[in-house]
Amino acid sequence: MNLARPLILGIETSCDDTGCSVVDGTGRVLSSVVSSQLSVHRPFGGVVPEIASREHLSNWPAVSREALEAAHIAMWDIDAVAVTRGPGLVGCLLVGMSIGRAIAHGLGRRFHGVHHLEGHIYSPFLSARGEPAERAPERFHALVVSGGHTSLLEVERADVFSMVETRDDAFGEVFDKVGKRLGLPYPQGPKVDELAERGTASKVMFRVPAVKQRQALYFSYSGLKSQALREIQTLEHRGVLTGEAISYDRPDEIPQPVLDLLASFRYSAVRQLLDRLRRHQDRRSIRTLAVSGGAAANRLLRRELIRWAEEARVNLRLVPLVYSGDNAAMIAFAALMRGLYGKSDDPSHLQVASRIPFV
Amino acid sequence: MAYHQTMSRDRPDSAPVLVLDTASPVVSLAVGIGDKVFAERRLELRRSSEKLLDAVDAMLAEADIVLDDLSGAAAVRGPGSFTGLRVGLGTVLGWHQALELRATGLDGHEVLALAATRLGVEPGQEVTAAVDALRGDWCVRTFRIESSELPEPAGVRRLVSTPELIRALQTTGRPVIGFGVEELASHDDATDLQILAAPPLAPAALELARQTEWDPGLLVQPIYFREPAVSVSKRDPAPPPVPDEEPRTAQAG
Repeated sequence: MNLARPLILGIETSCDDTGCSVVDGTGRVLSSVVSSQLSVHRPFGGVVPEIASREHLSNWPAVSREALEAAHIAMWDIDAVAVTRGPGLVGCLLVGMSIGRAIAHGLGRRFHGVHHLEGHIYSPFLSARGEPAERAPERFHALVVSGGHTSLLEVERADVFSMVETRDDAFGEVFDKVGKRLGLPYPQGPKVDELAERGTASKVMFRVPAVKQRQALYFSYSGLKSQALREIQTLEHRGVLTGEAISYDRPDEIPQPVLDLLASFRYSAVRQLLDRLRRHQDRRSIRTLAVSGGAAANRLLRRELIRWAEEARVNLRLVPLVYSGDNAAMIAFAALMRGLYGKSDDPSHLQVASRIPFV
Repeated sequence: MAYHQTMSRDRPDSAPVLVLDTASPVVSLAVGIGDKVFAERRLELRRSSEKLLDAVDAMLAEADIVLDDLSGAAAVRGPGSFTGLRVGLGTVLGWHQALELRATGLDGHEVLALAATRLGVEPGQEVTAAVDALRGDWCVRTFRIESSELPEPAGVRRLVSTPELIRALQTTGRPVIGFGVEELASHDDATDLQILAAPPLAPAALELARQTEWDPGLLVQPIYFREPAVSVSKRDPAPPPVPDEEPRTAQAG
């Protein structure tokens, strides 16, 4: 295979996954390796930053070797290095940043510090079949839904503008918290989604927070979370739940009211997203919407987005499932897109940060 | 996950070596051969990661060499600042992978003991290397200074409280070397302590690098003085034993 230049080495260490990837100049993913730390963090019910930082350093040699071997190239062949600079866990980001900076510095190659959300924003244009990436339009809208973000953004020539953010909890975060309350093992969000498939959404009524001012199209999930936690408490008082953890491995033994509750909760969470998208569409035209992030794997969300996009005649780009979680291919691809518009960074001056707001 | 060594290109042993100590309160770097330091730099720990490569470039320019001229690079792997030591180890790891440069990690306690010989600790004497482990503790290890060899460990690495350290030093009459050890003298119980304030460690690390084996596997084996402070979730069910998960390959075209 002829490799299209530039070859970009992507590095992603913003949270608990150590990622390394090689992407070519067409956006084709030559390799994407992710070493998961799930088993390490599971006993603690969530990510422990210091443990994650330690794991990134010890995982890196094997992850990078596998990524280079799968791409059939040597480190010397790399034309540019792209590293996540934030937002994320600072200790974790510093591991990837130190390694990536040194590789770019040692080889004398271009260096990109990529905003983590920028990586997600472009990920729906990646091909999961090893083909060149679809060319992202100069201007498009992006919806990022994950455990840390619920953001509607506007992208124009690689400049990113924030339009709507969550005011409190993120979409994926409330799935994790509700699942944790039920005693599901980490990560709880995908398990809540899976169990919700077995329930009936109309059995429990949740309210979608009303937007009083039509101009303020924010997301808000803490109210929905509180409603769900209260419903769980009610089920405990009624004796449907014992207070013990529900058994995810034996879903047939989970009482139907619990499954109905999860289905209703999921439906309400998705309905809020769709509600805001419709309101936004009424005010400002969305021609292309790129949906990404770990929670973009949510089954109901994907189904409802496809239905809405057909109705609204929106060009919907859903992230391939393999790139919905944190990965380094999206970081390398975002760097490629930044490079197209003449953006790069000096490896010796880039800072990592836990929060990096868009304009 | 097992470390897989990047092949190192053959470079003459007579070529200079670069060392980083980013784990100590005073970040230092040096380039040279053994006890001959061609150039060195010091940085404050705060925000040192952002300034490190600029300092490396300035130091190499002063020594009139480029990174590719080096025969190897090494980083102090702790004990010390958790984040700081990972910055140094990650940087040397990146150079090792990019330039196929020989590389290794150095034991910070051993570097301190070697530095003590430059401050008057003589062969036959023992010295305690101490690193402030915060929360009132010190991470210590004692070494015997040998005349022609590297300091020989004379005890295990352990965490002790400040009063314990003072008692041990008073009982044995051993000198102590480290950053911030001067504060031990201000304790009520502390009398007649032989306190050696640590100098920037890069020059001593350079000498240690000359005398130790190159082992890039040590770059991913930092020496931490404490396990992360976390507790097992009461709400989460006790997890079954899970084997280490292999990296998953999403796409290999």
